[in-house]
Amino acid sequence: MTLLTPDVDERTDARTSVRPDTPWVAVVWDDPVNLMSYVTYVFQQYFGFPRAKAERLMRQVNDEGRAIVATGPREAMEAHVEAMHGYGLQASVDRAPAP
Amino acid sequence: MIPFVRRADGVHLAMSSGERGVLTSLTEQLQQVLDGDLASDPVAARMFPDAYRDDAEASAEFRRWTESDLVARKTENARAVHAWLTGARDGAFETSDEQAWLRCLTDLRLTIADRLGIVDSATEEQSSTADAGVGLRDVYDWLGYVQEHLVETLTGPR
Repeated sequence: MTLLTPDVDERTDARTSVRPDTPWVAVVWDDPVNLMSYVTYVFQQYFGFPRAKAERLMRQVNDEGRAIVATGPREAMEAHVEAMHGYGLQASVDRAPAP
Repeated sequence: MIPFVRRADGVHLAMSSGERGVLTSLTEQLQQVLDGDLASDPVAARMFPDAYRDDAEASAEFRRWTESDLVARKTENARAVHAWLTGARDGAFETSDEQAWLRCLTDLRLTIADRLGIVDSATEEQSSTADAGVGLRDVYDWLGYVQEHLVETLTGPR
């Protein structure tokens, strides 16, 4: 590489590649087994959400098939997903959607 | 008979002996499932779902470091519920007992849903009208009632 080479390409690369600090999300998925009351209870109990927020997320899971219940570092999202599996809910880790 | 009742000192088990008998047998079967060959049991996909929906390798790695802990906790929950059903434990539920009951009832329903082939609302409907497995479907619905009642009892007025 020479000093005369424009660094446009490098900057483009930096912009399009995934930033290392891109947050992750924990997603809970709809399933035909778990009761709406139980899912709401788990969201309140585990995440400490107020009842209204827990119910809103539960309805989103039910109506849209999934809901993001937490956002943050990958390790934290994996811990949430393991906890959800412990409750018997269907949950997964994913990259946060682009803003 | 209502499955649970809240008294001054907390939530108590109020099932009839017949109901206790059914659930005792189910929790014993659940322990056998958890102690058995989970790798070849389709219920494992419900109890330990893929943590990365588009990444089989990451899901396998996640399972490697979470599954044995989860199996141990689910087994412990089933043992605790079994102890309440047989009378080895009695009185008011501790917080850990409430959690064991809620989670064990969920694991039982996940397991029975797998055996009934319930994967969505259509198959859920089918299994309630199918000739075969009506008895198991009744148990599944009853467990749903028991769990709903427990959530209501835990979150309702004290």
